[in-house]
Amino acid sequence: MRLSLVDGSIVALYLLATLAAGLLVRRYVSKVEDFLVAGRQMDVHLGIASLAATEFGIVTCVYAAQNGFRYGFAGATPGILMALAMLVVGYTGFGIRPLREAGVMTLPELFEHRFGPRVRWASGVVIVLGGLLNMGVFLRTGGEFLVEVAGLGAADPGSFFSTHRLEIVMTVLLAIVVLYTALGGMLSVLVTDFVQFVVMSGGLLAVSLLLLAQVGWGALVDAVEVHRGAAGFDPLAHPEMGWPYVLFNACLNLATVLTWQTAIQRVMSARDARTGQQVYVRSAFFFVARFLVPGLWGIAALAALGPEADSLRAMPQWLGAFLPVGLLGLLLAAMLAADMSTDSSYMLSWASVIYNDLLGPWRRGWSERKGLLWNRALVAAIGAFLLFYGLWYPLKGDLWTYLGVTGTIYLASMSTLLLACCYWPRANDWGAAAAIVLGAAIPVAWLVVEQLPATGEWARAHVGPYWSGLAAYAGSALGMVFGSLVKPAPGSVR
Amino acid sequence: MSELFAGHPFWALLVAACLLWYSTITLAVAWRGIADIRRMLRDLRPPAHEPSSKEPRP
Repeated sequence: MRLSLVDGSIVALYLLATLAAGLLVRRYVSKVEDFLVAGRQMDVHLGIASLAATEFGIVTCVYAAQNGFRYGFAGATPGILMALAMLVVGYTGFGIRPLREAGVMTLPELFEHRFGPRVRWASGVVIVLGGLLNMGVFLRTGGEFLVEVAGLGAADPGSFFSTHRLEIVMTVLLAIVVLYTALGGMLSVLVTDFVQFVVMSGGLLAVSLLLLAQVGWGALVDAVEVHRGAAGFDPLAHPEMGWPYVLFNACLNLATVLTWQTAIQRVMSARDARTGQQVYVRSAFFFVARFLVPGLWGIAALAALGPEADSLRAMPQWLGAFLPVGLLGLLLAAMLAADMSTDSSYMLSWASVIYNDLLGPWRRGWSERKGLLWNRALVAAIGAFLLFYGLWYPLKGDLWTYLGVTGTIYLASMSTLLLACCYWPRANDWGAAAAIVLGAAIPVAWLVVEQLPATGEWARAHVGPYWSGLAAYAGSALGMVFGSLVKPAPGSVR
Repeated sequence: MSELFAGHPFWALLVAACLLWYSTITLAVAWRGIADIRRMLRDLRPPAHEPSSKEPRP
């Protein structure tokens, strides 16, 4: 085991502080609105901490480092595109201002005002399906990272702990997160996100500065030049990236900023629309760091281990060997912080959509107490799903692309619906239904075709995840336009 | 520092800006986030007489 007493104490102290903070604020939760959107009392700095902590988990660190390992500096392209999207949307309020001013708790609730209850329900299904599939790999990725970096079970290979170390780490991690999220909801999430942001940022910065001091910028650039060539600095020159990659990521990141439930839940928890916009503007540059900082770690792993190493495991392996006592504990605390803040926010987000939109038709007249009980049960149920899905789903290939494709199941249609709902008076429920069906069907078809032995090779060679993703965005927008125009306008029926 | 900007200045500048900005925002958020939490919890504290947890949601 690499973990020393000093490292273990840092991790234990962090876990205790988080759990205490999460549990202490549960007494402020008296209504469903407090549980789901913190009573809409969030201010700018807490919003920045929460958004940044939520959108940076171990899974983020692993895929951004994988991008650095595989694509060099060009792997940070999605982060740059997301920062641009955050800046534009934050400054202009495009999409998010009308959303916050509508006073809703979820996107489907807004859609009901314009497209009716069936579209609200269908939107909820798509959001939960895409969101849970996307989140399903978080726990396993986080557990594998922690086991690898800390070297858990390595000293005693035949023991029960060594054999089941991944399952034990995943279960303990999840149990702590479920406990404080189920009791305190968004309030616990915001307060623990604050603690987690500070711990996470301290760890990320300390490791990156040590890396630059000890490995050196020249060695990182040399590793990319030798192993990846010019394509390691230019996404358009990379044979696996190019324009389809950049365009797909531009669509994906704009749609994420506009409609990803964990991001817009911060806008809806803000005191007002202006606060929500400020959170977006001021945290925009974080999304460059979100890809570039772990990307540097991935490049350092490339320099140390060479291009033949497993791209997913190279960075944790390198970190475990590189970090001195004390800093390893800080990194583990930082990564635990990153993972717990992401898991808690994601569980709450999907639980909020299930409660608010999918259970909507059946929960009329429920008391606040019953509503809170259901929300807590939903958070626990999502935790159980994560545990089982994480245990049996074998992750293969490019993690960021898997997340992008599963996220597109909902992002393509929901971003189309949001923009049409806010800015196109002609949009109606037929267009919304067509957009939802096409936006979900194309990425699901891609996932199925890619997994089938008979079609997998052809699909990867001739279609690829980026073109199928772009087709989902284009198909959803066309579905909205065509469906809305086909339905007769209300005044035209005599 | 000169070595940092010798190769691929765009990426070198971006890395330097990232680390500088991230350090600054971490300090700012750590300092002012506590005040945000205090204000949020103060505003959410329900009056002693309000039976809010029993009321049905419209």
